[in-house]
Amino acid sequence: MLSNRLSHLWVPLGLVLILGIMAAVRAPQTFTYVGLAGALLVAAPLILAAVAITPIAIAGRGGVDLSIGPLIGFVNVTIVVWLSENGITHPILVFAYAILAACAWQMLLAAFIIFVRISPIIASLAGFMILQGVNLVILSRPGGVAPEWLGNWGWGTELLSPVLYILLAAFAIWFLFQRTAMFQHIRLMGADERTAYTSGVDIIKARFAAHLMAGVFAGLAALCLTGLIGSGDPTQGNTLTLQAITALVLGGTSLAGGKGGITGSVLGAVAMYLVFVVLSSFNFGAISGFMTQLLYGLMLVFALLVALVTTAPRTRAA
Amino acid sequence: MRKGIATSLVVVSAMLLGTAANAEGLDELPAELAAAYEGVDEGQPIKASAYREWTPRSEPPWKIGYASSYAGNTWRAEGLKRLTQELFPVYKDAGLVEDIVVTQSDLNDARQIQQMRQLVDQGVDAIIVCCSNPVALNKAVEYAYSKGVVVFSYSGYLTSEKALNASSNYTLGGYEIAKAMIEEVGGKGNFLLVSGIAGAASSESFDTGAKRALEEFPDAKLVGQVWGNWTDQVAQTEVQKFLATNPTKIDGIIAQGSQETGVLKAVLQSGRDVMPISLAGSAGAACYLKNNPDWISHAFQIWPPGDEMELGFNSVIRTLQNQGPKVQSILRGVYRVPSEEYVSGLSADCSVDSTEYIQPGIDVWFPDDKAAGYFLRPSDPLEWKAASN
Repeated sequence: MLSNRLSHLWVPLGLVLILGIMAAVRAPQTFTYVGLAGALLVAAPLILAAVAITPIAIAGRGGVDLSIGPLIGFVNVTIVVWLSENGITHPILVFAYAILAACAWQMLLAAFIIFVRISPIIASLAGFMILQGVNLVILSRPGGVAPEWLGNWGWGTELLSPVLYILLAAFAIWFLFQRTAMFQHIRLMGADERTAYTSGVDIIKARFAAHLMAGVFAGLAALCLTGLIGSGDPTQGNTLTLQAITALVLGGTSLAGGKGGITGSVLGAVAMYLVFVVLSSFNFGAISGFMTQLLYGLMLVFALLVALVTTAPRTRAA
Repeated sequence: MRKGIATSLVVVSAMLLGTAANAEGLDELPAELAAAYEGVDEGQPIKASAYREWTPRSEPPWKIGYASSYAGNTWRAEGLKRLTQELFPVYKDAGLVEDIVVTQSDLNDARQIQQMRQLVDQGVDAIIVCCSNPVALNKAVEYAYSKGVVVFSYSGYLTSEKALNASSNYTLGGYEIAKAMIEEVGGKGNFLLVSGIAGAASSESFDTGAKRALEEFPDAKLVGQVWGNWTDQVAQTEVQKFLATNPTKIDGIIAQGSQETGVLKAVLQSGRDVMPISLAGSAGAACYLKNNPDWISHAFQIWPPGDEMELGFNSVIRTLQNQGPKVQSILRGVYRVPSEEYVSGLSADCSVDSTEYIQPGIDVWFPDDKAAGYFLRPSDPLEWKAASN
């Protein structure tokens, strides 16, 4: 039973192992104390972004949150422009703001999906465009300075850092959430919304809950991104959307809903980080731009194919 | 004219006096070079450099890393070509450079930070970056500095005290290009601004200068702004959309460089008379000028891709040679050229579809005698090894 539930993790786990071995050979410094600290720092925003979109994907209706990147960017620029530049830098206030702002956006998105009955992908696409513009209005160019304590996360030379604690806290939150009835309701709704409804599941509450969890993780991702770049960047978050979705799919979470978990998403994000560590260890010279993109794309396509083939539901023989 | 020069001198002097307290390296520059710092982007660091007495962690030949953030347009490709196909062989033969390691981060700061740290750990002596978020890489720069590695940003800047920068003064460039365009059409009219990438520092610096020039002409009106991403195809699409939805007469288009061919094609497709368009290095639009010499009287050089790369690379080698850069940012002015001279190198059968660049050449862009003014112990980088042995 357990092995069946964890079957979607074999591919991302295998991928991480293979890439990890390649990285250890090609770039052994990755596995030194400082190397791991740097890896944790750099990979954390993507890991948390992938985790954030997982509950929404599990909730079904093809729920891919395209707005996740600009949302993380929004929290990033507002921490710098609205809080830091006005002297509001206390860690508790900044943490509270980041999580509440991201949750508020997710509630808004959920409300549109539930009450206006817009498909999640359309609602989040509209959200992507709106936030992309809003971020540029708030901060027209990269700049500003993060609160000092947050900017200091960017050193990335200590493994036992706030970034590690945030990741551990995120895992703890998820594993507690997984043990609630609400999580089972979200899974059931994602697998078959009509059955869930007729079984008495409050699907409105379940969808709001999925988005609320996404908001918590998106807020944490924004904090890690702000710590990494030490500043505000109106466009940087945008790049996280496609990466997070790729990590999600690599991790075996079904975009059809009802299946998956953050362990897979985390492994998917780690695999994507390792792909670039390995690729960066080669010197492709003048064609590096094309080679990097080509190999990156090929590795992802291969991994996704393996993931899809190995996790596809088998039809029972007659 | 004299009044203008006098005013400029007063402004430069005032700027130098005003910043002397916090820019001890700037007042060491020859006056001619210091003039290029006029109206500099307020975020650009112009204090004394941290590398005045610095020596690298190893002897030559050095290993140089290029943590490129993007490779998707002709401008980047041209810079990379100059680095890997022209500069590297020459400096390798001179025994100064052992290898150049290139990475790509596809406009992803997190990835670029990872690659910079990885380059440091892999043993490079210097890292070149281009056009990035001015703050995001600062911690990676300091990580590199702590390991004895210098990070040099060309065609853009980083705000870290441990970073060095080399480029044109883009704010001044935006101002001069816009002013020249407004004057070209009689000091009044409707103008469209074609910017680079929204949110990119170089693009915003240019726009700041351009808008400053527009404010100086009360009858010049900015009727629209589009973003061409410094890519002809994007610029063409955006300008097409603007012209199709705005029947307003446009008297001139102020365009950031590396996309004016796309802007020109959009105007040609719209069926409107071709109004003056700022020219800054694209050979396609320059070809149109060669065939229509009355179109516009001048062109500019603001960020010639190969020459900007060479300016950065030359400065990196000089820094590794302990020549001691005086200031954090090596800034030069933009380069204005009459249209006849601008198109003189183009052949008669040139094409408006060309994706090549017209570049002034390093002898104009960063000649040795001017380069020497930015360093405490200047010498020709290619002859430095012979001199030290």
